[in-house]
Amino acid sequence: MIGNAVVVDAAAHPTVHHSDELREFMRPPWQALPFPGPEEYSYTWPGGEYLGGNTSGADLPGSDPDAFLRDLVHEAGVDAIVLLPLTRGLLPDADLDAEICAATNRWLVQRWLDGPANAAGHFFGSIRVSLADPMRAAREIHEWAGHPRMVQVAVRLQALAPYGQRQYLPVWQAAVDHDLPIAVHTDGGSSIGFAPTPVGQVTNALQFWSLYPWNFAYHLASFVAEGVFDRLPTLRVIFADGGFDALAPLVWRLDKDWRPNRVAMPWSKQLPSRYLRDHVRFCAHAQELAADADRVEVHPGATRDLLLYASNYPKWDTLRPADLAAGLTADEVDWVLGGNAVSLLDLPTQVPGREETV
Amino acid sequence: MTATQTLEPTSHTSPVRLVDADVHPLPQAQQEMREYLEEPWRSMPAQTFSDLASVLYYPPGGGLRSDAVGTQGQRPGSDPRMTEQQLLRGAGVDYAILIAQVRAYSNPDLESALCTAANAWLADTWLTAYNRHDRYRGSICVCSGRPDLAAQEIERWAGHPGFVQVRVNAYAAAPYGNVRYDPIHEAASRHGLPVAMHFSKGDGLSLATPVGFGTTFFEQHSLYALTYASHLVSLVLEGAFDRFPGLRFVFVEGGFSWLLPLLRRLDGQWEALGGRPPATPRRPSEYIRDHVRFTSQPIEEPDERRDLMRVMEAVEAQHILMFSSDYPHWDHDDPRVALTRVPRTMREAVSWQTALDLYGLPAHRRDLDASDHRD
Repeated sequence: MIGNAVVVDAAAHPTVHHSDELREFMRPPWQALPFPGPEEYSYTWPGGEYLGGNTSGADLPGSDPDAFLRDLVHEAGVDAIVLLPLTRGLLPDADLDAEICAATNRWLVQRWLDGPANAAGHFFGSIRVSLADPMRAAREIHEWAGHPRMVQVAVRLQALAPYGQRQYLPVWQAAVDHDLPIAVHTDGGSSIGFAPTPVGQVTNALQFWSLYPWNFAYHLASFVAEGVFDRLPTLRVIFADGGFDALAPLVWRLDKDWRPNRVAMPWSKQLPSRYLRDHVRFCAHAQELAADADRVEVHPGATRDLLLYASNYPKWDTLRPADLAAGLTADEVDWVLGGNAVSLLDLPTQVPGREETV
Repeated sequence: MTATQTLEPTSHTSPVRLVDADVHPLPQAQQEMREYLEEPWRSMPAQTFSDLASVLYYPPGGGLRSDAVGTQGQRPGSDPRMTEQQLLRGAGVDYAILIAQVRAYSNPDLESALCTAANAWLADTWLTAYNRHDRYRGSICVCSGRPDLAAQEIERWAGHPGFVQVRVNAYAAAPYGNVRYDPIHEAASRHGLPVAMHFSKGDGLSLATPVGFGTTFFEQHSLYALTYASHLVSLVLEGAFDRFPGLRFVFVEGGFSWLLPLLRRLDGQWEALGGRPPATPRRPSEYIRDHVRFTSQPIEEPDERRDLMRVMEAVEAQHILMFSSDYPHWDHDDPRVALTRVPRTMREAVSWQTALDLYGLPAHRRDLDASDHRD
């Protein structure tokens, strides 16, 4: 809790102790195949990827559930943590990619959600799926959706085609069938795919991370243009890398261009901005904290409506809820710190370890 | 070359009150460009010259104003009489910065040849034969896929008084801070020429976003901001403005409101680094006023007018924003409407002062005739 607010961390990143531990949860023949390690190496942060610097030899940061409880629950005041494990990137082999996601789900359930680490009930989870095989992804969602601690589906921000396109519909349909939101988050590992910007390659982590989260907008524009929100009225998408800071400028232009070009997308029924409240959320990120005076919202109350606190733990820019709260108004704090997540993810009303109910 | 009658300007002048930083003159037929090509390009098949622009991701309503068709039915933007009537008289533009439309191609050698032809064409037509009033200025088109040829092209035209900037395609194989473009930046900054980016669609991989190929023109056109944000991040963080202190870049037709959150991110990263590499020598936001300009069209239209004004104040638009119409494209801006969205205290700067300073334009312009005079 922070003040009277229940605090839900909408995205923290657990990992295996070492890269190959994932193989314990994989089936043959993929179990024995080479695949990338968990970390993306092209754009390493100059001060070190994680809180406390880079790793060296010992267990990967984020592999110890007790560290999550210590740093997030006991020190930062977080009540519920939505675990969003990263996978190994967009891989060319659709079956290997799907098996890595399946193994990640099995591992998360066994070692984190159902294990002794979760005796106090702080951990919730995300169903990882690969979009290379949409029918397989739908089956994976159906398999795990009944688990009481799985509260969302997680996919990568990286993609070979924007997410409104028709090949993805079976995946979104499966999520909607179980009333699970889709969290979109940049993956680790090593991906096939396109350059990180629309004009080619960047040369360091600052360039990469200053901009990559804003690529959510291509997916958002695609959802709108293809009428996905119209076809699936209960679909909700969480852009978990952030990008909320760019929302107003980008949506102003989306709205402006939608009107005269709507003839090419007659199945898109509303101005892009009108889909946000019912369909889109953003995780807050440390790089986006704005001074109040500069804040321009895409619609009045957008911060209160659309933003979710997330730690991004254990990355170097881990965000503490108190730091986010410092930039929020009294009207926004309770919703952003936890109220929006409780509602969106249908979390139990009894906050673990506390006497108060939400 | 068809000689076109235009009214003889008088010797009278009027003070400049409106500069249009993005106007697109077009040839009456693309075949006109062929006259200026060298071999082997000159003998290319006809369809090489048939498209004004790539028709991938094309506006469903067409790309040009239907009311800008020429006095004898010519393609919009190709009749200097119509341009004078609509732009100079009708919209009250005193100086127009012309950016010729050069279709992009995946083949950089072909595109370079077309740029060369376009520059020679522009010099002959809109900067000379159609420019008795001396109110048009032009952009040296170069293909950034061949920085070596681009630098040569800049040298070729830098001394011509009609050219006031270099134009590169906003679509590029690498963002513009990348060292491969240093020959372009070196030549442009040495000659005091800003480099303007403008979107000119080609085909192939140049149209890819980081998440693949979108479906509609809407998705593509509405997110120009992300392309420009990528170029800006690169120019600042890859040190192009440090390597070339005289370099200035103009961001055409991509909006500017995204600059506010982007600068906050860049400055925040810079502070977190505390001067450690790879931090730039200066705070990122400090590079903007000396090195970056934006054109206003298509001006943002938030539900709340006040929101745009607040953004303009926050980014100090009076120093960096220049009015543009994008005449004769479908989504052009009428200055009488667009400029009402600019805070009054900034209107003169946005209407003409910032562009006057950037392009070294005279403070007065020649009148077309007596009725065109303004005190």
